[in-house]
Amino acid sequence: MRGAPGPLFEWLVPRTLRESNTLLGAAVFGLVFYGVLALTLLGWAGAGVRGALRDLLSVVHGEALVANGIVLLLWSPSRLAQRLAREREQDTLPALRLTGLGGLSMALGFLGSALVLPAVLLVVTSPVILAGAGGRGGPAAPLRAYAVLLLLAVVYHLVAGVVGLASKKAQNAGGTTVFVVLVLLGLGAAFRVPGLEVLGVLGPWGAALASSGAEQFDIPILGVSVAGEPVQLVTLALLAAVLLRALSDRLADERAAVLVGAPAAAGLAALGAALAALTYEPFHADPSRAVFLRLLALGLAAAPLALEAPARFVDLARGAARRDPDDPPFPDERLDLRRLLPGPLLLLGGALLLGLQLPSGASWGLRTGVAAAVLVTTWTFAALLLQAARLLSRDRGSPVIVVVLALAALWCAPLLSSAGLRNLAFDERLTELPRLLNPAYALHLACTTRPVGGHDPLALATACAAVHALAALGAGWLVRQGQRRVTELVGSLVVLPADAYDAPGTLERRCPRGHLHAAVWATCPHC
Amino acid sequence: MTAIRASNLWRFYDGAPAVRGLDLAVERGSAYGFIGPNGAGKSTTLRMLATLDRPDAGRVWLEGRDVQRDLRGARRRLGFMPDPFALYDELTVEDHLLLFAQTYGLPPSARRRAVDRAIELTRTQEVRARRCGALSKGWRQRALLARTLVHDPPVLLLDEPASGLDPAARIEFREVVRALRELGKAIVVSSHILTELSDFCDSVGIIQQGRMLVSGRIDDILRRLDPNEQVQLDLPGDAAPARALLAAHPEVLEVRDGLGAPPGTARLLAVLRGRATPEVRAALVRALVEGGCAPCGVSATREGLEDLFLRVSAGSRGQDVRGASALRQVLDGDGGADREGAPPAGAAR
Repeated sequence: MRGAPGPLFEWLVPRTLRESNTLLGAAVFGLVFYGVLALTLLGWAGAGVRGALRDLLSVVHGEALVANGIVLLLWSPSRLAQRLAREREQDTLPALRLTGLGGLSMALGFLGSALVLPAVLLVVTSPVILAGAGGRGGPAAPLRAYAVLLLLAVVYHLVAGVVGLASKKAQNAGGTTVFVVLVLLGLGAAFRVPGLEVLGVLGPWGAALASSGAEQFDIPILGVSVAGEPVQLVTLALLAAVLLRALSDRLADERAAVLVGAPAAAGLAALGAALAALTYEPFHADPSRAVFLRLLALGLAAAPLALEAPARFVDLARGAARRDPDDPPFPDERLDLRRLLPGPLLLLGGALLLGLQLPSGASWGLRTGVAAAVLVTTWTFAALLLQAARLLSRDRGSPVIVVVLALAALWCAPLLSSAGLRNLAFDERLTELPRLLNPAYALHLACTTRPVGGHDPLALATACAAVHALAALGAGWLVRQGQRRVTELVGSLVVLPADAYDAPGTLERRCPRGHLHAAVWATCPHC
Repeated sequence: MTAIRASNLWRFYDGAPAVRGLDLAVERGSAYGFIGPNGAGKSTTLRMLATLDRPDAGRVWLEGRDVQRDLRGARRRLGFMPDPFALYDELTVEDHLLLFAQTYGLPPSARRRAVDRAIELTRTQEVRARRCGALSKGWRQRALLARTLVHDPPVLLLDEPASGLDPAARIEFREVVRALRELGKAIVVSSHILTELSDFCDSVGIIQQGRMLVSGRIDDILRRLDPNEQVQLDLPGDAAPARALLAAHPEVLEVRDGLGAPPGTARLLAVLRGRATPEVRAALVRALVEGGCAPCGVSATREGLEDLFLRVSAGSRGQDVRGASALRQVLDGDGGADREGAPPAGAAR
């Protein structure tokens, strides 16, 4: 295959195409699909509505779209997830890595082979797809719908790949992928809720309804309503690029990643922040709710970056252990403050972009500034706490889970305690205070213009930012403690034949000449 | 030329060290045996040498180049045979090798030739058309070795390659490794069975609890560790009285059963405290004759590598075994504090 994107693609795609399972799958699918189509035609002919040919073509277009959608978005991604999980389980990925294949080459190989059968099924249904051009959506309807569907399929496959590689067991990977895909489809369906049109980019619904002529699919961009499909295509292309990076990184296994790795998380956060800020509709008499939702989306978009930005203990130890001048630490082996910069920068940029679209009255400039401060301090606190956890525990996954649960408890428990205080008929001024710990509530306060419990809401939101800033200082101190542990460990990583009976860092005895040694030795083995 | 070199390798799992400050150097055209009990850190070390695990500290050079600085280049210059086996069960042996020939970037014209060569070297002709999933363990191991060789790497890392093979397959496997060594490849083979390695390795390293206890050419190790001399005695009939007599003799440190006794006799090995001089041998024979256990055969031998391995590993566990303190001296004399200097202040608790 000339011009194939890598040897794995070149090997897998033709083989998958030649496999008997592919041909069998295509035959069964074709039989079922055309059987259903025949029933539709019979029903249409029997109903005596031959005049409405455009309606019929719209219906068959919808049937083909649903059939291909199920294969492309649900079945095939779950198979890819299972395959990658199995490769990981059987330890064949390291063998591929050892061939010198890059992560991108591997990702494209697996992605290509996963898309072979769906592509064959598209060919099988192609006459019906073309017939859809005569439906109510117009001649370009199939093109628009399938362009979205194909790009969406690529994105879903890439998500499935990441899920598959993160799954510990192959048998769980398929089910987890189906769940994730259903969540994405559900989010995509929320495009019909006013203000949430932008979520339509995550699912096929908007494009599908528009292509069958049933409904308009528009997304507001900087206050102007534009056709949804182009926006969706651009967004999906960017999303695919980011996720391809994530999958490549995970396949190459050369970077530490909680789920998608720092570069991909930065990409996802940037994309999410841009969508949250750019799709604000400035038509509201009271923009509080719309602004709050967008600020919340901004914070959620930056959350994965906080998970991925912290450095791991082992990487820092590795970097610190590189003492030769010709062996400088790799970038992921340094605890550099620049690792934590993208989060706040994205949050500030998104808030600024949003603030520029807000009305000049009602102190919206100040309010956006306070909301940005809440977002930045909260993100920094969370990122530093995660960094401290990753330095104080050498485990890969559990410190992250513990911190996420702790943060969830820290932010949600005050809401309960506030409700409890209110039930106990405490003074309203008092009941508001615990809720200050919840950044989402603080964002709400920053966006509302009404006094809350007798307090100035802006002052309460500012207090929330201040509390998180102080907490971030505390987390920073924990990070310093973690750094000291790294230094201590690295200090003990020297070749000392006599320390064979204890782990470095746990040596207990020190001789008068300063040599550390294990307690098993009665006298210093070095002296 | 040094094909692969590692310096001060460390690897931790869940905070506990699996490999501690390990040094290693293997020349081209030589085979290095990596011996240690299960869980000693052999596989971890090989995975680090193979670039699959990053060392927590330390460096690995492949043909003079730091592997972490040139990961892809390093990977193409080495062949790693892991344990357990990772094969694509649904592919035939030939297809499996073709896939890897392709992913290693061999040009189309060279792939088939490379596969044929690997199959010939590993003598897997009779299973080339069979699915990997249908192969027995021995054949799977050979198929895996063929995959390791398909791109003709100058450095081979073989992790427990002969585990689970029957005796005939082991002998064949040794021949394959010898042939590869003669082709100029640097080979690192790990095993927990010493005799398996002593036949075809030039050098060995004994690893325990993640730490290299002894490393070097087999002759050098034997000389440095000053193996005990022993007297081999063949006795007609029951050996129990002779065993008691020998154990009571002041020159004898330990009495063991010997293997390969002629039919109708029992063989005992009397491990001596000192040298097996003719006088000592005569004294032992005299003691046996006086005790009514006249031997029918007497010869002097030395402890083998396997005996030394047992002694070294016992000494490293702090057991009261003769030679443990001498071993510590040998180890300290190897370098240790003198070579690396005193531990830094940062290590203080």
